Amino acid sequence: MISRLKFIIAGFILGFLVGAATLNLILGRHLDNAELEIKKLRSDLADQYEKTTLLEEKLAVRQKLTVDEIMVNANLEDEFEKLEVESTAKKLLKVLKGKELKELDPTLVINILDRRIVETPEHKYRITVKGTLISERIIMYIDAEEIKDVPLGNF
Amino acid sequence: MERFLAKLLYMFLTALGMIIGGSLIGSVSAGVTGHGPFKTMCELARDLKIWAAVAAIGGSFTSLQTLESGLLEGEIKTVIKQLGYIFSAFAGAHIGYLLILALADTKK
Repeated sequence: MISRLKFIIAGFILGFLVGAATLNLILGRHLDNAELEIKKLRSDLADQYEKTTLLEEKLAVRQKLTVDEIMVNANLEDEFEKLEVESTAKKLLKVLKGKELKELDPTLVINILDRRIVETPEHKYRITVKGTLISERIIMYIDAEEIKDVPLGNF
Repeated sequence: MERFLAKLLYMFLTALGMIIGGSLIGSVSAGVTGHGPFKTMCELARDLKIWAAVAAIGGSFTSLQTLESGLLEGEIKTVIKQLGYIFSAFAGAHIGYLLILALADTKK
């Protein structure tokens, strides 16, 4: 009885192995091609992923908005004085050039010029900022009020 | 002579069977684990070749010992017989390898 059971079990195992080997032979080519395809696709995927990462980095760099230009408009009638004041104001704001827009604090930008005293060769002005537009081009509208009472020598 | 030929055939077929059986049954594992069975089959056949030949001879040590004693004692017949066995075993292993390659060469 036991030997018969052994025979059946051995036959089953052998049959299983022969069947598996035969199936392997029949499907082998297909499985090999599938594995090759998987490897190719994985390689392609890695390439594409690398390319995407690189492009994302490039795009991120390109999308950084920075200050490129500074414009100041003073409300002076004398064109020479206006030019002097605007030029001095621009010099004060020069530090903002190249800065990222998202890092800029509008209050701080305004405070660079607001209530500041600007000197020209002939006069002295107290600047008040009337309006500011902060974008890649910073535009500031300033009111320049001449200070007459305080002589320069008293400082 | 007849016994010698029978033993030659025995070794040839043992080596052949080891290669074919080892490769066929071994590659089932590749099929189960999701790898290419034919590729594994070829690799197994290549790796098993030398071991199949050595195992068919009955262990390289015994065979070499017989060769050595045959050479030293001048028994050329024994030496030729041993060389015949070795050749037969290697031939069996190689033919098994070629059969597996013909069946499952992935470079086709």
